[in-house]
Amino acid sequence: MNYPTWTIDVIGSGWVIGLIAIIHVFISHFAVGAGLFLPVTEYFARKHGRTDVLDFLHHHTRFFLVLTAVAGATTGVGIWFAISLVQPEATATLIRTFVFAWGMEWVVFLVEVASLVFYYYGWEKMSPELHQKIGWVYAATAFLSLVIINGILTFMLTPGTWLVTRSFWGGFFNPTYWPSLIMRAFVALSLAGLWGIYQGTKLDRDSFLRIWLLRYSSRWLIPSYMFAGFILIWYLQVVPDPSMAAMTRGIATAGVGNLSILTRVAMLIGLFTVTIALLVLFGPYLNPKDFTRAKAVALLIAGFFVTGATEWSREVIRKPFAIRGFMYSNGLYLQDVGKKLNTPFIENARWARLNPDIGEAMFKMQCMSCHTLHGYRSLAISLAGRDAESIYNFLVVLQKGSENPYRDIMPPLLGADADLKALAAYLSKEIAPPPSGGAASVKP
Amino acid sequence: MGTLLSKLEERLPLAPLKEAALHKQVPIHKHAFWYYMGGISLFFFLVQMVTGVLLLFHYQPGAETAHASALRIMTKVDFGWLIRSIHSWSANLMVGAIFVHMFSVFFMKAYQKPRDLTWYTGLALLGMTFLFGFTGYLLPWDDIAFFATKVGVDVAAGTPVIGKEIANILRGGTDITGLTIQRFFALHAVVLPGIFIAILSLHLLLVQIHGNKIPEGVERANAYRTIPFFPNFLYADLYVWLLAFNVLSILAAIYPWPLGPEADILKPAPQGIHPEWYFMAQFQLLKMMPEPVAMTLFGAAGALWAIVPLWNPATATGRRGKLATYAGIAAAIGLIGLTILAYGKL
Ligand code: HEC
Ligand code: HEM
Repeated sequence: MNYPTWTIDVIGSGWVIGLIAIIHVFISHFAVGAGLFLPVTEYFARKHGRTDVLDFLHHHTRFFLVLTAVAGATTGVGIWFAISLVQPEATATLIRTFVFAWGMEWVVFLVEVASLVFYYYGWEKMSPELHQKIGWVYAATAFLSLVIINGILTFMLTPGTWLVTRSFWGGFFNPTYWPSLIMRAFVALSLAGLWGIYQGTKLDRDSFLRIWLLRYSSRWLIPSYMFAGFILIWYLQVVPDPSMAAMTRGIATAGVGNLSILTRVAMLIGLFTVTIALLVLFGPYLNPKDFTRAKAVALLIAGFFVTGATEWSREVIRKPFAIRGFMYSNGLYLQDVGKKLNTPFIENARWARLNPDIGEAMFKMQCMSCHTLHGYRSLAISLAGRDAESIYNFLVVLQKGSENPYRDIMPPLLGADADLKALAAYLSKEIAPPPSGGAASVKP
Repeated sequence: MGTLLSKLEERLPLAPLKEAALHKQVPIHKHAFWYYMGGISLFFFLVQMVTGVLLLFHYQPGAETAHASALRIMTKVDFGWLIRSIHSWSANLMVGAIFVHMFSVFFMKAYQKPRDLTWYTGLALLGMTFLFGFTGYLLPWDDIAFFATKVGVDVAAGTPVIGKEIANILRGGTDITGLTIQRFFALHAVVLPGIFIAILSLHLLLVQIHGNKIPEGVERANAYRTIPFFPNFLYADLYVWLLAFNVLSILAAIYPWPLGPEADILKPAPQGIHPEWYFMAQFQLLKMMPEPVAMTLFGAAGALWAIVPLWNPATATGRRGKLATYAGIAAAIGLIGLTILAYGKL
C-alpha cells in the first residue's frame, strides 16, 4: 500500500484491466492460431496445387499483420499500463521477478512481427520454399510468445515453489503452467478456425473455395473438442483448494438456490462450449452455402463470450489475492498481516496521509480494488440498510484475519479501532439512500 | 427394421408427407432474415412447454401454498431457480419475438389471400400469448405480481358493458384471492396450452401449404433464389435456435428472475406499480385519457390492424399497399413511443 490509488466509478478499476485484457486475450490467441493456420494451409495448398487457396491466404495475410502488430501490441501494452495504475504493488513484483521473461518476450515478439511482415510482402517476391519457411518462423514465434506470457499469467494464480525459493523458473513453470498452455493452444486453434469461417463467408456463395474453406476451417475446432475435457480436469486438479471451493460453492450444495455468480458463469461456459460445436456443425460444416456473414459474426460473438467469461472466472478464483499466497488484491503482503493488523492505518499507507478523511483513504486503499460504491460489486447494495454501527461490526469481523469467514474472498482489514470507525462512518454516509423528496420520488 | 417401417407405412402412410417436405422450397433474398422470426417464436414456445412442465412438478396453487412453493422452487429444488428463471425470461423473449414476427409479416404483406387465414390464426396466438403472460405473472403470488394483476384486472373491468362480468369471472369474485390463483392456474396450465397447441398446429399447417410469402418488390425484380427446406433451411433454423438458446441462457443465469415477498392483500400498493412491458403502451394510454376513450381508441386501432387482409387485399395494382405500410410504421412508432413514455413516467 505504498502507492496512490486510481478511482474508477461504476465499472471499478478491475474492469478497466478486464475489458482491455479480454480483448487482448481474444486477439492474441487469434494471432497464435493464425500463426499456424497460415503456413499449414499454405503447405496444403502448395502440395495440392490449389492456387485459389494461395490467393486467398495472400489476400488475408494483411489482416493478421494489422491484427498482431497493431491491435495485439497496443492492447498488450494497454494491459500493463492499466495494471500498473490499478495494482502497482503487484505489477512491481511481476516486473522484479520476470524481467528476464520480458526480455525474451521482446525478442520473440520482434521476430514474430518481422517474420509476418516478410511473409506478407514476400508472397510474390520470394521463392515458395523460402516463403513457406518464413511462415513456419512466424508460427513458431507466435506460439513462443504464448509460452512466455503463459508463465507470468499462471504464476499469479499458482506461484508454486517460487513462494519458498524465489526462483525464476520455479515461478515460471508453476503447477498450472502446462494445462493452461495446452488449453490456450487449443483455444488458439479454434479461434483460427472461426476466423477462417468468417473470411469464407465473404466469398461468392457458390464458389468452390467458399465451401472448401468453411469445411476446412470448421475442422480446426476438432482438436479442442477432443481434448479440452481432459485438460480442464487436469487444470482443475492443480488449481488451489480455496479457489476450487469458490468455484464449487454452489455445486456442493447440489445446485440449490442462486449459485454464486462464478458457478453460474462456469455453467454458461460449459453450455457455450457445446453450442459452439453445434453451431459450427449446423452452420458452416453441414450448410456452407447458406452460411451468411451475419451468422459468422454471431459465431464470433459466442467465441468472444467464452473467452471473456473464462478469463473473468480465472480472475475471480484468484481472489482475494493478486499473487496467491503472497500479496492480496489491494497490495497487502501476506507476511505483513500479522504485524500490521491492529496498527494505525496511517503508519502502513504512506499516501493515506495526504487524505484528510481517513475513512475515505481506508476505502480507497483496502476495498476499492474489488468494490465500487454504486457500480460493479456495489457496497451500497451489499451494505444496504446498515448504519455506521452495524458496518463497524462487519469490519471487525473482516479484521479477524485468518479466522474471518470471508478470508477466501476478502483480505483481512488493516487499521486501529479508530480507523475502522472512520471507515464505517464514511461508508454509511456514502451509501445512504438520497433523502426523501429528492430525485428518487418524483410523482407522475 | 425395414420391414417394420413398411408395416407402419401400410397403416400410417407417411410417404406423401415426406415427399412434400423434400420438395418444399424456401425463398432466400435480402429480407429473408425475417422468416426466422416465426421459428424463433416457436422455439421459445417449446422452451415454455418443457420448463412449464418441470415447474408443474413443484408448484402448488392456492393462497397458502403458491408463494411458499415458488420459494421452495427457488431455494430447495435442484436448479429450480434456473428453470423458473428460464421460464420467465423465455416468456418475455417469446412475446418480443412474436411482435417482431407479426410486424415482419405485416410489412411483407403476408396476410393477403391465401395467407389471410394464417394471419388470423397468428392473431389468435398473439392474444393467447398475452393471456399466458398475464395469468402466469400472478402465480408466484409475490407482492408485485399481486398488485400488477390487480391493476390489470381493473383495466379489464373498465371495458364497456361486459367488463365487470369478465373481471368477476377472472377473479372468482370481487377481490383477488386464492380462488383467483386457482383460476389463473387452470387457464395458464390447462386451458390455454390446449387451445394454443391446436391453433399453432393449424398455423404451421397453413404455412406449410402456402409456403413463405415473397415480398412484392423482390418478386417483381426476381431478386431471389430458393433453397430446399430439408435439410438446408432446417439447418439454418437450428442454427438460429441455438443462438436464441444462448441468449436465453445468458439472461436466465446471470440475471435470475427474482421472487418478491409474499403478497399482502391488506398492504397499500407500492409506488410505481405497473404491468409487464408489453402492456405498457395500453397502460400509458389509459393514464393519458379517460378510460372509456382509451379503451375504445385502442380497441378500434387493434380491430383495424386485425382486419388488414380485408382493407388491403392483394390487387393487381397493389392499391392501398402504401397505406398499409404507413399504418405499420405508425403502429410501431405508436407502440414504442407510448412504451417509452410509460417507463419515463414511472
Ligand atoms: C480481494 C477483493 C476484495 C476486497 C479488497 C474487498 N472485498 Fe468485499 N467482497 C469481495 C467479494 C468477491 C465479495 C462477494 C461478492 C459477491 O458474492 O457478489 C465481497 C463481499 C462483500 C460484502 C458482502 C458480504 C456478504 O456477506 O454478503 C461486503 C459488505 C463487503 N464485501 C465489504 C467490503 C469492504 C468494506 C471492503 C474493504 C474493507 C472489502 N469488502 C474489500 C471482494 C473483496
Ligand atoms: C406463438 C406464436 C407464433 C408462432 C409459434 C408462429 C410460428 C410461425 C412459423 C414457424 C412460421 C413460418 C416461418 C415464418 O414465415 O416466419 C409462421 C408464419 C406466419 N405467421 Fe406465425 N407464429 C406465431 C404468431 C403469429 C402472429 C401473432 C401472427 C400475426 C398476427 C402470425 C402470422 C403469420 C403469417 C401471416 C405467416 C406466414 C408468413 C409467410 O408466409 O412468410 N404468426 N408463423
